[in-house]
Amino acid sequence: MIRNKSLALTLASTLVLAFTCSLASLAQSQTVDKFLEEHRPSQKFFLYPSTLRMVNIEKNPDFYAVVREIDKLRVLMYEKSETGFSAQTIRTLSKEVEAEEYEELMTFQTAQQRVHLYSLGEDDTPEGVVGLVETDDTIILTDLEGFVNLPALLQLFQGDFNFEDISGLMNIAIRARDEIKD
Amino acid sequence: MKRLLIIIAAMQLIALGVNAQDNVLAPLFDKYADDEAFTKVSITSKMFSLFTEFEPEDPETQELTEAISKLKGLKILASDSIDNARSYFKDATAQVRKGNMEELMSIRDGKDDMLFMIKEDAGKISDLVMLVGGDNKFVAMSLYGEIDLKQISKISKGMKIDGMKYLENIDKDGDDQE
Repeated sequence: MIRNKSLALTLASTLVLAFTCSLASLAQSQTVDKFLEEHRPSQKFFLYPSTLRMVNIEKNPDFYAVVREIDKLRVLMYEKSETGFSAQTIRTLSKEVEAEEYEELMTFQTAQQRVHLYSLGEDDTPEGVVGLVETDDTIILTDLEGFVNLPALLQLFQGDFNFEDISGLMNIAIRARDEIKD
Repeated sequence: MKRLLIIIAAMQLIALGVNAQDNVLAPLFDKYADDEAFTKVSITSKMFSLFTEFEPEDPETQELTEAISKLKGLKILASDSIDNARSYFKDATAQVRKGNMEELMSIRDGKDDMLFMIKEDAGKISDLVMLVGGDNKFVAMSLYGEIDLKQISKISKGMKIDGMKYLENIDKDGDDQE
């Protein structure tokens, strides 16, 4: 009995560890990791739930719900003029992200901006979202660990939430970056 | 950057996955795929399916998320600064009318013409096409999956995305509109 219990405990521990490791290894994009290793961004932000909550000036409960499951968001920005990156860079990154088994969520394209969003994980266990953005001047990579509560986001759009407050997000991030240099 | 974040958030909201080859507007979307005069949005079924992960406490939001999770794709082609926008509208209208769709409603709102077409099978709407044409404005939107017009109407009322506002005109499956 004791032996069986011990065996079950060992098995459970192993499964939990394996599951945690697999989550940890899948949660962040290897493509983004590799790109960051190889290319120094002109600007780099790491945003956490605490930072995101600071944006919610009006203390909207739906906003808290939106960001509750976000563990970390990293944003890497590269100036095209400094790096020589182009639309081809985004196309290559898209292929690499898809090779990691990320699935396309959406694309958005205007004359000035091209945005691609991908997610990893099953519908009931979303693990991360990668965004690839090209503007006239910059290439931006975003890598979200965790997920966004979409119904709560829907309620935000239907309600009175002032999305202009999001502009404060970047100011907070820039201040944090200036204070804590890598 | 601020604008980008807002756009990304907005896109996540509307998300739908569409294979351009599956709908009547596919040739139109393909034709202008590389035309910088147009804004293009494509949302996949994967995005919509992510709504099933959550169980909102509010019954109204629950209904909305359930409706969204049944959608399979959304594509939007839009411009508000093109010459001959009405000819784009006319061509697209002719193309849609050739397909196996029926008119839900048509609206003249100031200088803008709007046309809503649907494909219905066994009482269920599987495709919704919206076309808008003005002096310099042209919008083509294709939404498909299992479509609940009342819920889509509710969603559209909260959206601040150009073009989507016209969906507010769908109130009672379109039978009170013309």
